[in-house]
Amino acid sequence: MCAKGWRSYEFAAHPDRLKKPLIREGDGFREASWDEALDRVAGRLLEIKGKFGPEAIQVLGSAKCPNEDNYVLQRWARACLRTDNVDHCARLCHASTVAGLARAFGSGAMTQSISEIEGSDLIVLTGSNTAEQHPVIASHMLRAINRGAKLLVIDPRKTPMARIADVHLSPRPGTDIAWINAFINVLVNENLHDRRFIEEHTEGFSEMWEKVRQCTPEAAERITGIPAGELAEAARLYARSRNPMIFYAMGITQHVTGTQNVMALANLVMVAGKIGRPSTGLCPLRGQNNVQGACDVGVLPGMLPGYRSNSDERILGQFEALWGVRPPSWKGIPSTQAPDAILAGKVRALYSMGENIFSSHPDMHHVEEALRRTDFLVVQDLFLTETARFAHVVLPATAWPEKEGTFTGTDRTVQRVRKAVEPPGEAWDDWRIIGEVSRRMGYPMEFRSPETIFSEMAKAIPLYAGMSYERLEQGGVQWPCPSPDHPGTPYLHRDGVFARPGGRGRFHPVEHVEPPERPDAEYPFCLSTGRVGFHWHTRSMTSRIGLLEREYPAAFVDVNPEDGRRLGLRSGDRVRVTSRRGSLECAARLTDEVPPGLLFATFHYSEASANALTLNALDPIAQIPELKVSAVRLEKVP
Amino acid sequence: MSGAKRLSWGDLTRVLRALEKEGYEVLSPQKNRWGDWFPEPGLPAGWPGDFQNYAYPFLKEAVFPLEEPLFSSGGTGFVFHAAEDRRLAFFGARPCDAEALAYTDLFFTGRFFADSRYRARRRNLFVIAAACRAPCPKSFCVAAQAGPWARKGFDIQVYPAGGDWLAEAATLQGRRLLSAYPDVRREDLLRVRRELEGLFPAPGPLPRHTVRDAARTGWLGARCFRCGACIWLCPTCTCYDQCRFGKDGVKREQDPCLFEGYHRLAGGASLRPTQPHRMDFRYECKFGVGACVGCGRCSVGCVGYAAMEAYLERPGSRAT
Repeated sequence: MCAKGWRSYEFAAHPDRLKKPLIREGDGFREASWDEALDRVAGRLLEIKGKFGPEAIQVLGSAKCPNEDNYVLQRWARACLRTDNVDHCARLCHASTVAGLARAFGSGAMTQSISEIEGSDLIVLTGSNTAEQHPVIASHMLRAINRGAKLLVIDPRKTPMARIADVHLSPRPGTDIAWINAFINVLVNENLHDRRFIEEHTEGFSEMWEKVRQCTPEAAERITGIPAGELAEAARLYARSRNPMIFYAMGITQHVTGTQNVMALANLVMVAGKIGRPSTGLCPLRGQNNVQGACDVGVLPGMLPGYRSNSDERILGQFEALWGVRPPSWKGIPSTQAPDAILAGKVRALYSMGENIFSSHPDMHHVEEALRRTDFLVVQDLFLTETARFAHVVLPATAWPEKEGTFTGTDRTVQRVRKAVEPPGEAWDDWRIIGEVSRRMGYPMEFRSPETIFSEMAKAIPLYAGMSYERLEQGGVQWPCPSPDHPGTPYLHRDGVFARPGGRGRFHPVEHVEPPERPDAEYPFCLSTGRVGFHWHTRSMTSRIGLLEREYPAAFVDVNPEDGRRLGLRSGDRVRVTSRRGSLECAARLTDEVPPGLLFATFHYSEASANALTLNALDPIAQIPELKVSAVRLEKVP
Repeated sequence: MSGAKRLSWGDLTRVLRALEKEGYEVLSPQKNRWGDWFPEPGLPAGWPGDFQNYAYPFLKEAVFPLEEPLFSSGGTGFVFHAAEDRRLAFFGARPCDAEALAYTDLFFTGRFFADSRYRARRRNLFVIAAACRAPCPKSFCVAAQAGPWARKGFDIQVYPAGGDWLAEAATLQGRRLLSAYPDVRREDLLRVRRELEGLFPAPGPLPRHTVRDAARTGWLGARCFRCGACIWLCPTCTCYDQCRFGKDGVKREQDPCLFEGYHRLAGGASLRPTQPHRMDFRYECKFGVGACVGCGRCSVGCVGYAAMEAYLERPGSRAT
């Protein structure tokens, strides 16, 4: 376990836990009974739905909650509220993976198992601070390295894994397509590609090659800043490895070109034929404990449970038979566009289960304005989060040690979680809260337990069809698991048979696109954002764990020592970071983790969140925001 | 005579029942459905042949919990939380944990300092160690002279001997409980010990980490993810911090020396600003003053590859 895991029991028993429903009264809240709070929620939502239509209600699920809670939430949204405006924080981390890999491979998930890492002979890490954000997976990587595997890190930052890497390449932020295309260029020009795999298992190679032909290592050097010779050597290392595994995270996905970045990586593994075998593939490292599961159960606009499109009449009919109501066939608003929709008057009510969009979403001041203008905001959470402070009704929910259910890990393993302790005060399970609201709105779902919810999920999601609580008692099962006698699927696209119609992988021609904002004379630094290993997401839980909070008690910005010297800064000096959207003040930390010209700040300190600086430019396909490249100015605070 | 006794399983059960009559809650090793061993209340039906060690140092937890409230400030003044008054008889303690207990006793019940909470719990603890028949994963207890049998830290220690058990007592209370059973010759006890030692790999000496070893701790420091597992799993780590608890209380909790905050001064400067510095501090404690009992838990729980196993495998180590 990581430090967060060791101490995770602590927040659940924290005195700040919400113990009773709260209803807004003036500038504050008063405690209320469940009956009063639920009646208020159901009544106001019915009123808004009646007056403005179901499109005026936005629902947010949570990748921290079990599958069962999220399944019930999206069913309530689609069958009771009749809205497809249902989304969750995958929009901020791997929406581009879901979109990109689904287009390329037919399945938007990690192709391999975590346990296969130790069989790899080359680990390629890009856009992932694995040691801090996925330490258990990094542990498997270290074991592979101890057995002789090479480590290639491609990341602007000198992360802990980069420090022990055999090769570390540091591209300029926002130039991933250029180095990936240069890899492909080297492979094809030096005949290191897998012709047979391309011919037998893929389509669209020629169109892709037309774009990539021009992207020589020398051309890529001009874009990325990585010397051409080093790029070519790294490409050869990848091509000549027998079982390379590529891992990536938000450094790849949180860009306006996030989906294209993912498709470029998919191009690379298909050109090399490095997929469809054990310990050989492409592995997105999902951001939260159940972000894979929340996607699987359909907390995504336009996607019904099991990644089935709501534009397909046959699929809609199946869900109508299951739910008694035909789900909406229009595509809902992603969470990153919800603030705009609220400010435009299209969305009037926001129901948030375990999300803290005030802190997590880009351009914080814009989000704050939207939350203030929401006609009716309901927050269902453990603590009075920054978002909950704007709510009209706050409902106390249970934390993971108090829950029964299932989580789906980053490698598609569905696992049971069991209740260990009683919740504090009058906190309720999320599925029970949603069920009660739904019943009061005239759509009773009649789930008696998480197990009964999972039974329905197994009917609704073909990938889960062979699973049951009884089976999961014996251990986790990896989807796809289409029948009770199916063993589960440790790795996808076996023998090059992809999940797309026709079974072929699809190349996509992608080329480098400049980020919407680059440093200039006024804002000369590039800002990248993320989190630290001791805090999780918006810090609503980890700030209440003493030892974790002590490690990183306040916001900071990482500055390269060369830049620090130029600006007369020392570690610990107060600095002001300013972008076109806002500014924040925090301590500077001089470190060679960032190259000259790059700053790194975190988003989980609400008093100095990097999201006060980020811009809400979105990937046109996945609607994921550009959180890794913003132009900023850095000044010492006198 | 050796002072040791020969007991059948029935005799051993009678000793445990006698402890129960004296007000002790007897804890015995029990395996849960996922294969993890926990000390659970009650007497075992028989000695579990596959029991190696608890994944967590429960003996340390019994005297020095991971965290405990010290006091709260209510409306009328301070309320001090006393250590619970609970008599525990820990049956099946492993020799490494018993040795670790003897080590922590030195500090917390010493001549110059006595921790009242630790001492209160320690007085209420009766330890029945069971010598080991197989090395645990990643352990090196023989090299640390903390296995396969304990030299100290127990009231009674039992050794498997054919179908019976040899038992030796290290305290007056232990001797009293064993007084009714037949004596065993010293040669027989030594022979059983030698047989057990033969089941373990021959040990080499542990390194003496008394000066900074930059190459080794630099390598390890780069691999340490600061998960804290090695500290929380270590039976001799007892550094603690005092911090806020609830709305108005103060608690103490074990504090990992591999965390940066442990070494931070009030003004914000750090005594040991890098992970290699902190690694040096830890290994000097473990090998410089002999605080490692070789249980191997830190290496099992380490998320990186930076615990004792890695330390001993790095060039410069003399241990095997």
